Amino acid sequence: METLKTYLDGLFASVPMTAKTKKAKQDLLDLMTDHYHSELAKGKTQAEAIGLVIGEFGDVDELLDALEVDSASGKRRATGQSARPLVTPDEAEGFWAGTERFAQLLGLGIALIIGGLGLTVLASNTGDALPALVFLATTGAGIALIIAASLGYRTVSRAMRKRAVTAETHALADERATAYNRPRTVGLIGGIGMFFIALFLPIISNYGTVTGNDAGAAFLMFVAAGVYFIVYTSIIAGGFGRLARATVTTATEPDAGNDATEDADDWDEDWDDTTAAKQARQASPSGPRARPAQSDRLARIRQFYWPVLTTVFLFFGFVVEAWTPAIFILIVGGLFEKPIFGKHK
Amino acid sequence: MISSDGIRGYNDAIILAVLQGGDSYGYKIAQRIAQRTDGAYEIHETTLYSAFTRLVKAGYIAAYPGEISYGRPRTYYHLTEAGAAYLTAKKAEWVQVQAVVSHFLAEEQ
Repeated sequence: METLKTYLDGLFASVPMTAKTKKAKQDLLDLMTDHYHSELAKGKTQAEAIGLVIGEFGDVDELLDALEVDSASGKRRATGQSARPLVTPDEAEGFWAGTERFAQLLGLGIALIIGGLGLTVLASNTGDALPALVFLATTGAGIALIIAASLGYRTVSRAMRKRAVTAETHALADERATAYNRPRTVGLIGGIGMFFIALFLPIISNYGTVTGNDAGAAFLMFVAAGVYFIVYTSIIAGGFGRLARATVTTATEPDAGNDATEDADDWDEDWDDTTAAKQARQASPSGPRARPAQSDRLARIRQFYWPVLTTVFLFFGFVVEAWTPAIFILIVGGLFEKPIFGKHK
Repeated sequence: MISSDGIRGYNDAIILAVLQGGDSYGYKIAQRIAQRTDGAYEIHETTLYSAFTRLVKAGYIAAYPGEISYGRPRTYYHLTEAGAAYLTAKKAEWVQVQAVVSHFLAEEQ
């Protein structure tokens, strides 16, 4: 039900709110609500019903023509913003599929590097050239996966850059993001659980039969699994979130005196908006002006964030030979990335 | 299922014909259309609402708030005299259009 309202809010985001358009919006919501309930009565699930209602809604331009308002696309061009076509649901599905592949490969790559260290430790029981071979093979494969994933994802991600989405895509993204909340939480809890198991193993190893190298290897394997869970689910959630937060039509800042702006804030939130920029905007009325400079600077620092973290990680690992604090740095670094740089890539 | 493109030009008349059977509201009208055509024509919400807007403006139908459902009064539509006259004219036109198009497109002559 909220989805239908969100959908209509999106369609009308760039339409000037007059008594007439407001009435039209309400009548359309009534129409869709009736349609929704009739689908439910036919035994459809809520998600199916919403899909059907939105799918059979029809051509928005026809409606705007009848209401004699500028179509969203005309308006977008008039404001001089991106004239690129809106992201359609099909394209969004493609983007999400690409995001999932990226999540898989990246998660696997990182897990392989960490887990590979575990395997190396295990192999070191044998003593000869095997540990070195295992280390080189797993680390090499892991790095190759990470590079391949990043290169592939760059194309996928770039296609979505700075683009607004259709109301339909937005509603879909919203639905997917909400539906993915649970898997994401499970992934996060599962991942953190793995870390706990990982920490637990070396501790009990002093008392049990699992000792020395085996315990160290198990520790790294569990950390690898935990990192995979967290990386995989966060990236997929990010993919849904990105389109759910994208501008629906590139509506300009809502007029202060407009009585229909209750939801407009959600729509005007650009996905490359950073938390810091948002705070800046809240702090001063001229906030939007301060925004580009601030997010630029953050973006520049951000480029060095992961390379520096990785270097510190490898330094601790190899030079100081302390893998536990090293991995801890990576995990904490990952957790702090969002608060520092804002939630959007 | 027929696309609204193929039927364009007669959507307004179809809605007026439904309203000739009594006042009704948005989704009920869409349902009547689907029922009377055994589901062969399911009108889109946008097409339906665009037609309402046009017809009200032309004075062929009148909108008024009716029965309350899901916490809101539904907008009901009533066929005006001008609307009834327009419908009669459209009916006559349809007979002619059908005859003309059939000469070219009907399978059996």
